[in-house]
Amino acid sequence: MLRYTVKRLLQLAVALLGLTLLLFAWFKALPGGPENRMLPDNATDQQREALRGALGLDEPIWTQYGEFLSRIVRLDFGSSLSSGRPVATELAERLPATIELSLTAIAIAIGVGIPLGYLAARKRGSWLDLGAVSSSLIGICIPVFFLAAMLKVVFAQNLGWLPTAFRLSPGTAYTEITGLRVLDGILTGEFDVAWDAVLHLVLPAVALASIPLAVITRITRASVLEVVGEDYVRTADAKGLKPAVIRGRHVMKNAMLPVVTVIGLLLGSLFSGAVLTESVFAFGGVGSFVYQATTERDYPALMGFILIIAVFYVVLNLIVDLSYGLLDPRVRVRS
Amino acid sequence: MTLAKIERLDRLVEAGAQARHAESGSLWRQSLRRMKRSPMAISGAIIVALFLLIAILGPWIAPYPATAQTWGDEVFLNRNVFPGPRAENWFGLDHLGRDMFSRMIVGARQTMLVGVVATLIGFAAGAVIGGVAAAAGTFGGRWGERIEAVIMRTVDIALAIPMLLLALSVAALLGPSLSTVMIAVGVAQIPIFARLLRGSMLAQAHSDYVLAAVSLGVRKRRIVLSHIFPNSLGPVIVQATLVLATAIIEAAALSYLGLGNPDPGTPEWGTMLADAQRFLSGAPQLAIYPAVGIIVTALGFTLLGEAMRESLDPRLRRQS
Amino acid sequence: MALLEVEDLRVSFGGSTAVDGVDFHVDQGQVVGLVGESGCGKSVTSLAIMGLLPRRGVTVSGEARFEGVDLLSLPRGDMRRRRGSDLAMVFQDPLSSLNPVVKIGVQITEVLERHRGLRGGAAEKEAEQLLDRVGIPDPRRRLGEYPHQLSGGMRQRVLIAIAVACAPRLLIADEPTTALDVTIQAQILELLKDLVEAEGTALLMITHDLGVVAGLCDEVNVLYSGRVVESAPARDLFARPTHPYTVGLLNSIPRLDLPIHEPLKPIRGSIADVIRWKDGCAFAPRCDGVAEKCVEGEPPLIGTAHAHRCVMAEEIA
Repeated sequence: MLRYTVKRLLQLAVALLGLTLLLFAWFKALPGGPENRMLPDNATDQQREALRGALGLDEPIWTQYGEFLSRIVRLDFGSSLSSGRPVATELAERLPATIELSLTAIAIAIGVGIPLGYLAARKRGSWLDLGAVSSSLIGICIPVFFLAAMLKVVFAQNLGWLPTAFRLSPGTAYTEITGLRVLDGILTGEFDVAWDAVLHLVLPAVALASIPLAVITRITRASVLEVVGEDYVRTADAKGLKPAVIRGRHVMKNAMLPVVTVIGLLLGSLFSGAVLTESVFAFGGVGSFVYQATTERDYPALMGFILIIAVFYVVLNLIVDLSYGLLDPRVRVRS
Repeated sequence: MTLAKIERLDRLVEAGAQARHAESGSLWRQSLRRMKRSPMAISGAIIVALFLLIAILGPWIAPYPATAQTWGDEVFLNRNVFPGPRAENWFGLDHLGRDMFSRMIVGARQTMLVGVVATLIGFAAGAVIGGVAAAAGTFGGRWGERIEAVIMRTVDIALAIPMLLLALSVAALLGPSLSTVMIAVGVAQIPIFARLLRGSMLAQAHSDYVLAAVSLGVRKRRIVLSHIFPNSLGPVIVQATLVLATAIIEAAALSYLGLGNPDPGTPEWGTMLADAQRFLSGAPQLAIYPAVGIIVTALGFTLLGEAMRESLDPRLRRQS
Repeated sequence: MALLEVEDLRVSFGGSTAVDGVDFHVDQGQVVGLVGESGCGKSVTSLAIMGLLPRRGVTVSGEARFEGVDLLSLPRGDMRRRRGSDLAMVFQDPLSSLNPVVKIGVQITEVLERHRGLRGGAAEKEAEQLLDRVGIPDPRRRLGEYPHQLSGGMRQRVLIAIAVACAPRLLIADEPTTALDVTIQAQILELLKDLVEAEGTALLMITHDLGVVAGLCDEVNVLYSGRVVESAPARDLFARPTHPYTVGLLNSIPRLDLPIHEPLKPIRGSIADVIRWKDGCAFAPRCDGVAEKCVEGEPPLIGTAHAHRCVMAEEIA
């Protein structure tokens, strides 16, 4: 298990290095050139030359790359063009919002998806099964931003049951500990704040959860169906074990393996969905920041941002990969 | 035994054999047969066929030109007046006074283009990358294995990065336009296909018929091109169908983020949907038509893809 | 009273019949063989007796009386209680028959917990002893290992240990050695023989291998196309095979004592060349001695201790 981990970590390090190289190339390839983006349009050629010198753009490419790397290591991702603040700071401020939203969404997807998929598999051919399969098929086909917008129009604007935007009602005082409004509200005893945060979370989380929910339901159903036909389940049956034991130890333990893999793969798409959902609900997370940076062509922000998120997801994937080793003993032997 | 009795015997054998009707034929023929019986496959195929029909015939069957703002004076944005469905305009008008029905019909073509091109880019590039990796790993000796490892680790990283980021990076390089969106979505699909094809080819490479071919002295290149590659295509084709469905949706998302065609003249369902977002409270139909179009089309391709996957699954093949 | 009495068992899946009127019995402590080619219905018979056939799409009729009680008409909960404790089964493929993500020890102790009420340390001790009993070296260590860490032969031993854990009165073994190497096969068969003699357990041995039958069984039932065509004490079956199918099977076995260039004698045709039992003898299309009366309705069972279904038996012999 240890050798496996170390080997993967080494490969990861190499891969991340490659990633920085790619990003450097990407940044260099962006239209306009960095010095143009940082100057007003009527700058003279002299000014451009001066800036190029100052930015070190006349140095050999290796040196530039070296500079690039050293800045990354120091977590200096430059400053946003629009706000002037360091990209890292902007991200750090907005991260908790996205985390809270994503966690809620994935919790919904898992909490509803796995039981639903299991029931659909056990009652194959029933109305429940048909309903689960069709809704999960349709679920992946609905554009997230459209769903988010429709939910907002129907439930927030027209029916008024839920708030239309932001994480808390405007003007609400709150104490910040972790940055997760619901958790903070509970920890500090400000339950009204926590409840307000929950209300604001409902619509965006449901919209964001739609695709993961659909996928998890389908994979769980398919996986349970497959496992139930396996020989070892027949052996368990032949032993005369109680149905609950067969279900838990023999069926679910094996059926969950592909589901965990899928959840790992979904994390990336969860981010994409977050970008879209947050923009609809002005949720103030990393996603809305990306939206703004994209529409405003704020390249330094985008670049730093892409780098951080890319690294984050690569590491996250590694963790999921390794945890798979914990669940499936067969993987530990293979390297 | 008399001739009559032999004939009677034969007839009895027939009767017995009916209870054991064995399915025969190649993998493709079997799967096609199975698909003809599956309601999922049939509905998917109908939707896809309808979509392709509309897409191809588009401009010829649309009642009005899709870009003509003929009824511009009947639309009042500030008062949220959008003429709805009526005799002349079955789907009503959009915010610039254009006939929605025509725009939907003509838009099918661009939408199809977006989906097909994006999928093709992902498929082609991914297949090459995955194929090279698999071939290198199987036949390239130690260096081949290293090359494969490097390629696959890069693919893994690309897979880990959220699709939107990949697409954003590409879009930032190319500037906003419809081609950008197509290419961006296409590039984002490359890792999926690369991983899939490489896995598929590896599975084939370890199968017995390849071992047999190698031991018979068949050249490696021939083995890879004529044997392994064609047999690995099954799951990849399934994936391509599914990817087509989501490519259209992802393209719409990119348009929503402002990376699509800034000039909303040529209709495309994704851009139409993105543009209509601002009118959702006042005139939701502007968004609902393209949304339903996208959802149903994506659903059609998904149904077809899923049905194909089920029918190609060798485990589900009945034993005689 | 026989321990297990199977009477007119019929199983069909949708339109196709797998078991078409099977009768046989197993006495206490006896080793009975159920022999036939793939597709003759022997596995389905055993699954039906154990109550392991799926509920949907399967029609089962007939009786399978275990100690007088018809298992096929028992409520599911009752049958579940009996499985693993009164009667147990060992399956063909030891790798796929064990849960890959659960430790061996747990897969044994769960049976002990379920039927014998053993828990914790007591259950583990017993599991260790069981592993020892079936000939697995270093049993304590094996308890904490996973199936993929064991060899094929060892896995089969584990499955046997699981099956005998609660001292069942009937053990059904469905091709337990088919997936194993020949040398391991012999060991496993020895083990089964051993256990059966020591505990007085009855064994229903399902196989296509006549060699296995010869070495192990007291009684043999030969199955063809879902029905028993010959049934006799093992010695008699090999000495005086009566039904042409049995004769054909025995003749088709390659022998060491025949001249080297003597061609092998397979049974002509294939198992798909059948007629339905209600029309006549299912083996008729492949039989060299076939006559008109073979296809004039269901052939009856002839004989008692050594019984068979060939109406042409005297004339062919």
